[in-house]
Amino acid sequence: MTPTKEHSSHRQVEPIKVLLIDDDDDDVRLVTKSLSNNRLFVDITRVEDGLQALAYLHQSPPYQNGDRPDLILLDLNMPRMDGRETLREIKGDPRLQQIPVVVLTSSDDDRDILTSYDQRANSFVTKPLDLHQFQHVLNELKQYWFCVVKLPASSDATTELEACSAS
Amino acid sequence: MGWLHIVSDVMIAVSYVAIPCVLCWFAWRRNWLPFKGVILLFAAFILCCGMTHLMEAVVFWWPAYGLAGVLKAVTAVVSGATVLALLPVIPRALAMRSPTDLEREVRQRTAELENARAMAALMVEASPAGVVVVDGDGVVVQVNAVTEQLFGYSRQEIIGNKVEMLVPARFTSQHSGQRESFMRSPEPRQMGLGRDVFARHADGREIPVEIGLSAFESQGRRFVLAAVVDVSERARLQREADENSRRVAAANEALQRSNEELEQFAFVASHDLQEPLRKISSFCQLLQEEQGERLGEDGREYLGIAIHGAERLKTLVRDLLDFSRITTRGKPLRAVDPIVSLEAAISDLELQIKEAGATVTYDEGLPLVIADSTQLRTVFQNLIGNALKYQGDHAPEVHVGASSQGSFVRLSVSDNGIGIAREHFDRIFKIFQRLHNQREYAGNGIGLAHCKKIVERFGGRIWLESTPGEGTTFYLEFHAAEPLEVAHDADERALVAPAG
Repeated sequence: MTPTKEHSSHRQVEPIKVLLIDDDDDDVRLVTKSLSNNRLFVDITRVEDGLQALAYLHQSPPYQNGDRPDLILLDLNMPRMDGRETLREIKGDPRLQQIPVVVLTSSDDDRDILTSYDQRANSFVTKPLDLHQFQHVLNELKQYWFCVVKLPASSDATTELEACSAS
Repeated sequence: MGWLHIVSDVMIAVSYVAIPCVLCWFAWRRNWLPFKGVILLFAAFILCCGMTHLMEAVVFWWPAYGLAGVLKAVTAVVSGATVLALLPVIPRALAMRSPTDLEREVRQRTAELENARAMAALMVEASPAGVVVVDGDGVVVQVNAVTEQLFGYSRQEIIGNKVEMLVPARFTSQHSGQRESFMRSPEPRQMGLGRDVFARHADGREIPVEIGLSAFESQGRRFVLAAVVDVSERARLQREADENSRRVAAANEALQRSNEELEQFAFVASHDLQEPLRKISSFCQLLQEEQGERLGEDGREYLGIAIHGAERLKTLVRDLLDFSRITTRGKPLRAVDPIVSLEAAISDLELQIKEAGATVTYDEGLPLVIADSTQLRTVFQNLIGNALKYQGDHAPEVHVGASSQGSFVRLSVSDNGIGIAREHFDRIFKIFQRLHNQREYAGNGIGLAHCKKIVERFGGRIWLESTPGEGTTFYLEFHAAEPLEVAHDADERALVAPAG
């Protein structure tokens, strides 16, 4: 009797690739924790500012082996090249502009909000002051971007629907 | 014997000619001779009489009775005419006054004239303004003591010279032209209206003056009278006033800048403070959640205190941020229905109202006020929230009333809480000033300062009346709005605030 392969188990799942652009190590730690907290496979790459981000996205050294992310989480206030400029660069580049960019920042300034959407940010999220709210927001983010919406076809990621509904 | 007649007659005849000649010559030489006509007639009469007498003598030798007769007839006519001419003259002659009378009158008139002149001179001298009288050619003919003093000359130095000597050098050339144009239309007026007029003192300096001009005629000549007043004192006071205004304006500007800087500072400080605060709070909570068991009871308690402290600090910083945003994020003021803001605030406090078992009532038909509806909501939230928080022994009762005060609307928020002692009335509006500690009543002392800033932003005032143990009433005064200006914006409809 030959063993039959069962289709439902052990499907090879590609993790969702997230590029996290934030200069604040502590915030990065919190975000990483929250994003990794369940069965969704999320592969987080972190860079510290806009210059590193663009190098990564263009696969320049030292990021020659970088993968194209499915989602970008972008902080605004960073040294050397801040989030606003980075956003402009990404959304101005025909090869990169399809990647959804979520601005994730401590700022709640109206001007920042307006300018971000003006520069074609896909959404603007203010980091909550409270830990539990922070975690909640990130969960919502995950739920929305990984389970609810469809990401651009150039991504190889497939999402595990059971993992989504269970999160 | 005959020669006596002849000589006498001839002499008489000569006189008869001589006298009329003298009379005529007199009349010719002295035009002013009264009754000239009569006198000339008289002269004619005498001449005719003379001729008649001459004829008498002539007839002695030559019997020209015809000619003598004609002459006599002429004489008769002339004498008749003279008598007739004399008749109307007599009353006139009688009316003529004696030289003594005339002289007396002249003396009288002269005396009067002298008095008048003296009076005029006194008036000119007594004038509180400097008088300068100038003739048609610009030569000064009269000044007074004030002029001497003002310009620093004696009158002898001024009179007889051109008035331009009193004018600052830079204006002398225009001045004669100005004089001429004034002469052409000499209505009394101020000289140099709308600009500063200066006089030149003997020592060369310029004095600010005001000059009134008028013209008069005397003895067929035109004169200009200038009344000169030294206004240096007034000019100095004006300069001081201007200087004061400038200083006040500068002070205001500095104050304004300072206020803006403070607001900026408050904003930046509270904004930048939030980041590290967030970290403290978040990671302390993480510690509590992930490592709580390992810490032990004391450890967990310490951590709890740290987290609690961070939370309070967060509220404080957020309130500070909101405070600094009252002006920077305030909406433009317009007519607002206080009921809408009040109902929104009551809705926000629904839970607390229920928990405290409180009743919140308000008068119907509160008049419209000039305000920012969102900020007004915050004020009500604060005041009603305080009324609930600082409750006394009974269930809190809060009432919002209104009255009209001319162009202002006075709203009142009354409660039956613990009340506030009079000596604290000023303090409570100051930021961070509290009358209780954290254990008695939670809070950070920013609420009333917030309310005050908002109310003052609307151009109104806030104050209170209170009796400790009985209750408090806060009064808010706002500018009343015209009924037609009611504005509705979308957020007034959103009575339920979004969560978080």
